[in-house]
Amino acid sequence: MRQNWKDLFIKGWLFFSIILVIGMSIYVMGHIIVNGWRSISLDFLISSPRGMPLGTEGGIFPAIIGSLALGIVSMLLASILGIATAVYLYQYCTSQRIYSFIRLVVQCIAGIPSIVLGLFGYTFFVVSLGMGHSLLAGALTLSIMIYPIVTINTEKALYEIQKEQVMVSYSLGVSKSYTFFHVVWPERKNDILSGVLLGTVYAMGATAPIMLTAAVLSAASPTSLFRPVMALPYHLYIMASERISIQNAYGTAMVLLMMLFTAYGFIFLLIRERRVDKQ
Amino acid sequence: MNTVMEMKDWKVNYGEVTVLNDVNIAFPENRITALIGPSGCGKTTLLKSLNRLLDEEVSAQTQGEITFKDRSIKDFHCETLRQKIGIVFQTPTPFPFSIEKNMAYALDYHFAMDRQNKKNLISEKLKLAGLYDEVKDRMDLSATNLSGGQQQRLCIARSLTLNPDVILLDEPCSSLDPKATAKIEETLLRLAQEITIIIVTHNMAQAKRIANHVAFFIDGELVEYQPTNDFFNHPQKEETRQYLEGLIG
Amino acid sequence: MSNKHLEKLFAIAVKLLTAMAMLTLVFIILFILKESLVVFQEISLIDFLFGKEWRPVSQNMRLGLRPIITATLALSGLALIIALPISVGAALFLSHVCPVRLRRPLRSFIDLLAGIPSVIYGFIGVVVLLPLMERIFDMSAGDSLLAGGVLLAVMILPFIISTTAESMEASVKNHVMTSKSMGVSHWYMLRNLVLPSSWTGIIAGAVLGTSRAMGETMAVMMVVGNSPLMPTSLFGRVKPIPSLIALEIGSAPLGSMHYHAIFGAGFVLLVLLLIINMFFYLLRKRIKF
Repeated sequence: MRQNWKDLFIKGWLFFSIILVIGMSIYVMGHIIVNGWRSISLDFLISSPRGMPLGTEGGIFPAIIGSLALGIVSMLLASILGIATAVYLYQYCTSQRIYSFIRLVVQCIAGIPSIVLGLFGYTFFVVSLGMGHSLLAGALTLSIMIYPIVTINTEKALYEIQKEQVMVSYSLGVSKSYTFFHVVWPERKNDILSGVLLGTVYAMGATAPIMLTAAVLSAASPTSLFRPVMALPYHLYIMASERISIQNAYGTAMVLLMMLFTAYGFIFLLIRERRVDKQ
Repeated sequence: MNTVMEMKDWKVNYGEVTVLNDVNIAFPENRITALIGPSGCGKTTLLKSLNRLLDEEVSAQTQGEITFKDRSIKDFHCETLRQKIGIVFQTPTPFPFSIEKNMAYALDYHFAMDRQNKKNLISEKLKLAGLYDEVKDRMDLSATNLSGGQQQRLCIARSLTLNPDVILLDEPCSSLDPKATAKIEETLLRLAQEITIIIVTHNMAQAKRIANHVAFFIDGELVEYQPTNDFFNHPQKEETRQYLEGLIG
Repeated sequence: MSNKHLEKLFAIAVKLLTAMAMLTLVFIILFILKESLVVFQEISLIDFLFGKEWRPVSQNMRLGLRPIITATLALSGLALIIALPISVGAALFLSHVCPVRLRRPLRSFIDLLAGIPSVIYGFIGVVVLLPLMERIFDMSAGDSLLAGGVLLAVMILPFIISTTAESMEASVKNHVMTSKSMGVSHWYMLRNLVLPSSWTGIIAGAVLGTSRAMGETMAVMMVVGNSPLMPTSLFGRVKPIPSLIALEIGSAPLGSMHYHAIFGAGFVLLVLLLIINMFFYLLRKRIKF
């Protein structure tokens, strides 16, 4: 009889936990979507913030473009560094010690809290290098943040290749770079791209690194790397924490969430395409 | 009989573990040499030493000398050496593109050939590997759609495109059925007229059927190296006899 | 031959870029350390870390991090206490109770949750959690340690769940059949076989969760009230290190003691998190999944 009691307790605990987690997730997303839907209109999407205080009226167009710009620039920077590191680990590194060291460093960069990166970016890029609050300073800071994500995902993608295929290419006297461009990349590009995309959405949703380096309350759509930009997450933060316009905050949150879902949709398609290819 | 490759006091370590210990062996030109021994005795590492694939592996350290045509393999440029010494692995490793592109892969890298020459060369090498008749009408087919035996012959043909002097094979038939195995053996015998073949095998019967010489390894050491007949009929060492009996009886 | 040139260029580029990425970490750590060290010209390390008050702009300036560090630890501790039992339960469900067909979609759904930007959680905190707390606990304003802990708990759930579930699936795969063949109930098996043998996975999940919670800025900042007070009750307002940096660096004059003290706080956080992450790295290596 005691046994049954314990079984029942475990059963209850498990079901309670999973229902709570799923319920909460649905609530968080549902709450944003239901309320956000009401505050979104075409005008909201394509006009600049207006009103006094700024943001009570008008839309978030410059913030959408600003976030995309931050995402794209930081993606370019991070994928150059991240893919290079992963390729080095996979094709060039022949010392166990260097290999472990690099893995550890990547893990450590992943461990730097985003606000500390923001602090670094603020003092180094914005002040010391004189970039000022700018798209470039923000993107540089974000790229350091997503570099580990890109590296780890790319490495994972590379290690799924049959190692002998690479070795066979080498043993045909073919160089490593040629092997990379003609065997490794064509075979794994979808997975590498989806890893990069994952990093990019993460960058577009981040607030802490850009609030000190790039984002401002109001700016035109970005035309230069050296001008400050508006960004969705920062705009949402200001709207909500200063209680400027809760309605517009819902709209902004909804747009941010939709960007996330779109990116995940792409990732899903990229990975599925590969599975179909294989058959 | 000329020696094409020779190992002198060759030693390989992975970290603390010694995989090959002071191996001395000479491979005769245009003959088939079979390497046998229990798994984990270092045969695959020996193959990878010969065309410097070990350079690409994490934490492999080597000592001693290997010569290819009387020159140390370290004196060759890696790419040149590997053009001359091809390798075929245990599991078939076609690249995931068409048969034709698989065959053209190394050619495109090393030479600027015109289409017709390339086509002729590819056909010739496919014939040599005994695959031509089976694939001549479907050169655009993805190589991964071929059967295991066909894939393995494609890999042999692909390494032939560079006119190598030596081909290394690491248990090429272990995942194939007897019929496919027979075809590969046929191919190897044909190739041995102009190419040196060094093959790792677990199959004693296969070694008997195709090899001119047999080398037997235990724990990274060369125990016995003899012409095939002598090896199987009059083994010199006690270990060899036990190994052969253990497997045969 | 052009392929040879390409190879040389590619190899050099790959190596240089990798080296650059490695140097970035060293540079960031040294940079933050250098900016922090100035503080110790005026106060000792002990006074800085354990000083009772943080009053950077008053006449009688005090730069003691004790309330700030305590708040940081209290928030992540609270979040962990709330999240851990739920995460372990959910992970057990996902790895051993859930029908296999549902497992993948559920896992992806929970992973999706981990991708939601923290500012959205903060926003939900402002519009849902704070009013809720005001009503339940009859507070004038809901901003508090408790609100931060609850919100953080929700945010770290997906991280703990996926780490723990992965290791639970891996650790006992081979024993499940044996156990089933002995005729014990499924729930008995979970309690006596699965749970005890996945403790490293649970610890790894908890460590990852803690590291996430400690470094989290936006969501926390929006619901904890941000007063640099010693946390004495669940309902008090607090200010953890990330909030301190985010809210004060903009107004601290460059080169002032206040400015350098903020870097000092950042360095403390950085060191804490590097240690925690290395621990996680080692744990994960040990579990090998």
